[in-house]
Amino acid sequence: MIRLIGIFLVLLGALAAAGEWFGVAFPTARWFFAVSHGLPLLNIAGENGDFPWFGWLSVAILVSAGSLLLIRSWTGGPPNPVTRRRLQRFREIRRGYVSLLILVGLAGLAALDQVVVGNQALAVKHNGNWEFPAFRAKIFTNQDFGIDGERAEAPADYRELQRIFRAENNGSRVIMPLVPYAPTGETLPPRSRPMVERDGLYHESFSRNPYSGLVAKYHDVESGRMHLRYTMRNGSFAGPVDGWDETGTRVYSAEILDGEVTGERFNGEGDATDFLALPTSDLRAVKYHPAPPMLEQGHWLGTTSGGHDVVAYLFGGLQVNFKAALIYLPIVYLIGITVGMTMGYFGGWFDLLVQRVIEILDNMPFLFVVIIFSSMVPDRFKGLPIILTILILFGWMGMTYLMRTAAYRDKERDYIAAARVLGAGTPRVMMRHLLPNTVAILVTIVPFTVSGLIFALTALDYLGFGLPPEYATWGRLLNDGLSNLSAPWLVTATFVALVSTLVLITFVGEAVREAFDPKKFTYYR
Amino acid sequence: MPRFLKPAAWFATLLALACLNSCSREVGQTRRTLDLDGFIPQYNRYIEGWVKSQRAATLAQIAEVETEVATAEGERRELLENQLAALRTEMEKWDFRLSLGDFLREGSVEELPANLVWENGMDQPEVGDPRATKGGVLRQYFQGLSFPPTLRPVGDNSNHMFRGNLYDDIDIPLVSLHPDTMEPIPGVANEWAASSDGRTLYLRIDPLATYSDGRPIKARDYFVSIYLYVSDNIVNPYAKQFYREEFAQIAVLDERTLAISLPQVNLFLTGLAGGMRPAHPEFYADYGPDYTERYQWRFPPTTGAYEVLDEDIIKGVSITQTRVKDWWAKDRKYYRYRFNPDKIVTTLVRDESKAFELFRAGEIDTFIVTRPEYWYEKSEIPPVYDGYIERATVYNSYPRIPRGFYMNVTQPPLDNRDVRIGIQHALNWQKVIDVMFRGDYQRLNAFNEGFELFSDPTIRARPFSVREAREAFRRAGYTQEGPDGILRKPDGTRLSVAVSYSAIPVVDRILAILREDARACGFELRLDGLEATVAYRKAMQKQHQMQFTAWNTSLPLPDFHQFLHSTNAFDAKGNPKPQTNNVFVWARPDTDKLSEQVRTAATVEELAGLTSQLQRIMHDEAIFAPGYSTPFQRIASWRWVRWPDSETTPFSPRYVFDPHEIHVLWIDEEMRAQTHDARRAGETFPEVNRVFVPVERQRPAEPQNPAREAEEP
Repeated sequence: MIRLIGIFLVLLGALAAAGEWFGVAFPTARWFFAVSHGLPLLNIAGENGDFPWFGWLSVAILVSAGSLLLIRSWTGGPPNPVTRRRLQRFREIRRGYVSLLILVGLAGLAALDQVVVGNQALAVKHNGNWEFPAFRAKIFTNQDFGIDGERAEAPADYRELQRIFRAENNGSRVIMPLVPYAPTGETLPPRSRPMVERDGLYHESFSRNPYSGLVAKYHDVESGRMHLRYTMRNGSFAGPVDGWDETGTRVYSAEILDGEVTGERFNGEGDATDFLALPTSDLRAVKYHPAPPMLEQGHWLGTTSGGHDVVAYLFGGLQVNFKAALIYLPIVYLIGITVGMTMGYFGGWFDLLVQRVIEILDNMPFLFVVIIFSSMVPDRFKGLPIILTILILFGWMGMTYLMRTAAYRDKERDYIAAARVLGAGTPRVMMRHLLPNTVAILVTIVPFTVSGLIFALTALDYLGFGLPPEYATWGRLLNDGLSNLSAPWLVTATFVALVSTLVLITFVGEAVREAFDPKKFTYYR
Repeated sequence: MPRFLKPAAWFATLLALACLNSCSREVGQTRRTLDLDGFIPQYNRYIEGWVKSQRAATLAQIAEVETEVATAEGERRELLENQLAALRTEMEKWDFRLSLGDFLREGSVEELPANLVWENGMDQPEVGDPRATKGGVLRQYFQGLSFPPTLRPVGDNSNHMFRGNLYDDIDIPLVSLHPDTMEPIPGVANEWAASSDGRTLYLRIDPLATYSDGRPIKARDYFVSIYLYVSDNIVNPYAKQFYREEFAQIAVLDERTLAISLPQVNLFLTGLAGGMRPAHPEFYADYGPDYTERYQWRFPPTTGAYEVLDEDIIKGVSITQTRVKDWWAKDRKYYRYRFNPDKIVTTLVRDESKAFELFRAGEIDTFIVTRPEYWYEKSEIPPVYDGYIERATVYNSYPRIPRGFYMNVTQPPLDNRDVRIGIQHALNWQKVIDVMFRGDYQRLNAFNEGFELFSDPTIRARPFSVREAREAFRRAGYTQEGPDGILRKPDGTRLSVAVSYSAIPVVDRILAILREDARACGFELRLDGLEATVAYRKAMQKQHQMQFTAWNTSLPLPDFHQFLHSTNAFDAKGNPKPQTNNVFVWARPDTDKLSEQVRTAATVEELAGLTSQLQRIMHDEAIFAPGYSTPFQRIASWRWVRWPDSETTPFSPRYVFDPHEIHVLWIDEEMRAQTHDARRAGETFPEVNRVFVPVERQRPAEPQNPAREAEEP
C-alpha cells in the first residue's frame, strides 16, 4: 500500500519533469508546470525564458517524498498489527469501502484529464501522419492541418476539423476525447436542433407537441450565424421576424400576424426577395444558452448560461476539487499536527501564546477576509493558490485542539517516560513515539476535512468570491442554475454531483471512524 | 466644594448660560424668508468676480503658450497654435460676459430689439394619439426598488431614480424640444426669438400658464429657481458650476418676458436656454438654512400635469400622482393627448422578480422586459399567450451609448495604430451579442453613433477576423508566436494589453468571451476588473491602457471636444492631464480644429459634415473599439394599457428612450373590467407581439469637403 503510493508519487514527479523537458503534456502531471508558468508569483522571469520554480519544487517534493515512502516500505519492518487490524476492519465496512473505491475511481477518471474531456484532439491523422495535439505543449494552428482561409492562423478547432475530414473522407481522421468540449475557456456559439413538419405544424424532431419558441435558418449552423429568425407558436409562425446578412448585420425585419407577413423592412444591399431566397440551412429550433440536453450534439446534460458543456464543466469542477484537496490536506495537517503537538508537549507559556494566536485567528470573520483579499489581489494573481492559502490560513486551527489534548495526555504516559529514560531527545520522542500513538485520532477527521473543503470552495464560488472564471467550479454552476431555474438541468446536475460526492466522502469518513474506534482495540489498565 | 474646582464651576455655569442665551437667540432670529432681493446683487457680484478671475487666468495662459509657441516646432507648434486659438475664443467669451453686465438683471421691454422674428413652433406634428381618453389609474413600481429619500427637487439626495417621474418628465420647460423632430415647441413660453448674434433668446411666457395651485407663472420665478439651485443652503457643486458656466445672463424684461444669453453661439440655443423651469415664490416663503429638512416631504406646485397631494405620500409604501384639475395646457397642441391617467400610483417593491410576479398577477400595469431573460423566459407565460398581456418592441432613435474600449494612445503598444486596428479585429463582439444577449442587441459601429443627422452611417465597425487581426499585428512588428500562443516581437515583447473595467458579473462574462477569441488572434487581453470608483479614478488619472465603459450621450448634439481636444490631453509638462474626459489622451491639430468648429457651427449641414469627419478620423485611427448597443426597449403591458398608434406617434416618439417617460399611454378602465371577466371565464384574446420601428430620417446633404476627399487614397 505504502509502496504503491510511493511509486505513484515518484512516477508523477518524473512525468511532470519529463513533460516539461520534452514538451509533452501528460494528463494531470502537466498541471504543476502549467500553473507555474501561468502565475507570475510562481515563476521567475529570466533573460532566456522563465524559470518555473514552483514546477521544479513540486517535482522535487514529489520525487523525494515518493522515494522516502518507497525506502521506508522496505526498511520499516512489518506493519503495526493494530494498524493492520484497523484496515481490515475498514474493509469489512462495505458501505465505506465501496464509497472509497468509487472515489478513487473518480479521482482516477479526473486524473485522466484531457483524455476524457477537452477540445484538443487526442490524435489527428493528416496526410498519412499521426499527430497527438492533446499531449503536446505546442499549439497547433488550423493551417498545420491544411485548413486555409480566415482562421488559418488561429489555434486548430478540432471539432470543425473532424467535420471537414469526415466530409472529405480521404483517410484523414480526428479522434476526440469522450466529451469533446473544454470545461472553460471556450464559449460555444448558441445551439440549435433540427425540426420536422407534421400535418403543417413544426415539431422538434423528438417531440409530439407542436413547437413554441424561436426558430431560425442559418448561414452556418455550427458557428450559429443566423439568416432568418422567426417566432413560432404551437407549430406555426407568429410574431417578429429578424434577418441578418453574412457579416451579422441586421438587415431585415418583419412581423407575422395571422400567417400574413406585414411591415417588411429591408436595409441591406440588393433586393429583399433575393435576401430571403439565400440558400441557407433548414429550419432549426434555436437553443440559446443555457441549452437543454441534446444528445445529437454531444451535450448530455445541456449547456451552462456561459456557453459551456455541463458535463465538461462538472468534470472540470471535480478536477479542481480533487486538486484542492490534494494540496490542502497535507499542508493543513502538517501545520495542524506540528503546532498542536508542540503545544501539548511543551505546554506552559508556548501553549498559552499559541492558543491566543489561534483564538485571534478563530475570531476573524473568514468571509470578510476572503472578500477583502479578492478585492486586493490583482487579477493575474488570482487563482487556486491564493484561495487555498486563505483556506489553509483558517483551516489548521481545528485539529490543533485534538492534537494538543492527545499530546498532553500521552506525554505523561509510561512509554514516553521510558523513552526519556533511555535517553531519547525531544525530536525523537515526538516523532517516533508520540506522533504514531496519537495521530490515529486525526485520521478519522480527514474525510470530513475534505468534504468541508469542497463545501467551502463551492460556497465561496457561489457567492462570487472564489476562483476566477478560468476554473470550472461547482459553486458557480450552482449559482447559474439557481438564477436560471427555467433551465432545470443545471441545478439538478450540479446538485446531484455535489451531494453524491459529499455523501461518498461522508460514508468513507464514518467507516474510518468506526474502524479506528480506540474502544475496540485498546485496553486501559 | 474644593477650592480649585470653583473657577471651573463658574466657567461651566457661564457656558451653560451663554449656550442657552445663544440658542434661544438663534431660534428667534432665524429668518425664514426667500429674500430674493438680497440674493440677486450678492450673486451678481460673485459671478462678476468669478468671470474676472477666469479672464485673468486665461490671459496668463495665453502669455504662457505664446512664449512656448516661439520655441516649438513641427506638430507641437501646430498643437500649441490651436491651443492659443482656443484660449483666444475663451477670452472673447469672458469679454462678452463682462460686457453684458449683471448676471441676473431686471430690465424693461424697451430693450427688445425691433427686428426679432418671433416663433411659436406650432407647425410640428402632434404628440400622442387622439383616441386617448382621460381617466383611470396607472400602477407601477419604483424602478430603483427603493423609496425616494426626499421629494425636494433640489438639495441632498434629490437625484434619485424617481426624480424623473416627479419632475423631469412632468414639469414643462419654457421651450421644449419635440420628441419626434427635435424642433422647439412651446412650453411655458408660447413665443420666442433669437437675437441676431445667436447668443440671446427672448421668450414670452404664455399668459394662461399657471402653477398647479392656479397662480400665474411670472418671469421673476425663474430667478427663484436659480436661487434654489445655487444657494449655499444646499450642497450642489454641479448645479453651481452649471449656472456659472453655461449661461451668460438671465434678464427679466417684464412680468412675462425673459432674455437668456449664452456665453457662446450655439446651434441649439432654443433648447438650451429654453430648458429652465420656474419655482413658486410663495411656496418657498419659509425658505431658509433648514430648507433640506423643512421641505423634505413637501411637493412644490408644478407647471406640469401631475401633482403629489400631501395625503398621497405614504412613506415607505407608495406615492400617488394626481392629474391637475383644469391644467392650463390640457387643450394645447403637443400636450392634449398626453398625461392621460387620473392617477399614477407607484408602489415600493424591494425585489425585481417580486415586481415581475406582481405584474404577472395584474397588480402592476406595465413592465420593461428589454433584457433577454425577461423577454424570452420570464414573459413567455400563459397571460401573454392568451392575449391578456401584450408585448411590444419599440425601436428608438436615441443616440447609441458609446460602449466599448477606450484606448489610451500614450501607453505602448497602443501608441501603434496597427496594434489598435488589430485589437479592433480581435474582439469578437458578435459572439458576445449572440451568447449573452441572444443576438438581439446590435453591434455599435462608431463613437457617437445614432445622432441621426450628425452620425456617418457608412462607418462600420471592424468585424472580428483572425486573419485581419494577425496581419495588423504583423505590420506592427509582432511576427513571432510564443509557446502560449501569444504573438511577440523579435525582442520578446508580448502582445498583451490590459482592459480596466468596473467588475460586475455581466461585464466579467462579456470580457471573458472577448478574451477567448482574442487569444485565437495571438493577442492577450488582460482583464483588470476593479471596483467601480477605482476603475473610474484609474481612467481619470490616465493610467489605464484600455478602459471598457460607456460615456453618457445626450441629445441633440454629439460632443467631441471633451474627448479629443489637446487641451484635455496633456498638461504643461507634456504629461497626460488628469481629471479630463480625454481618456484617449488624444492630441492632433486637425481634430483640435474640427472639435472647436463643432462647438460653434452655425448650420445643421456644417455640423453634420464636421461630426462625420471626426467620426471618420476616430474610426481610421481605431482609438475607440465599439461594443454593442441596444436600440430598442421591450415593453409588456396589460391590454387595458393603451399605447398610441397614430400617424404621428406609433407607440412612442422616436427620441424617447423609455416610452413611459413621455406619458402618451392611457388606461381603458372598461377594457380592464372586460379583461378580468374574460380571465375568469377562461376566454382568450389573440397574442400581441408588435414591433415598432421609426421611419429613417434623411441626413442633410454633406457639404463637399476637399480635405476629406484628399485623405482617402
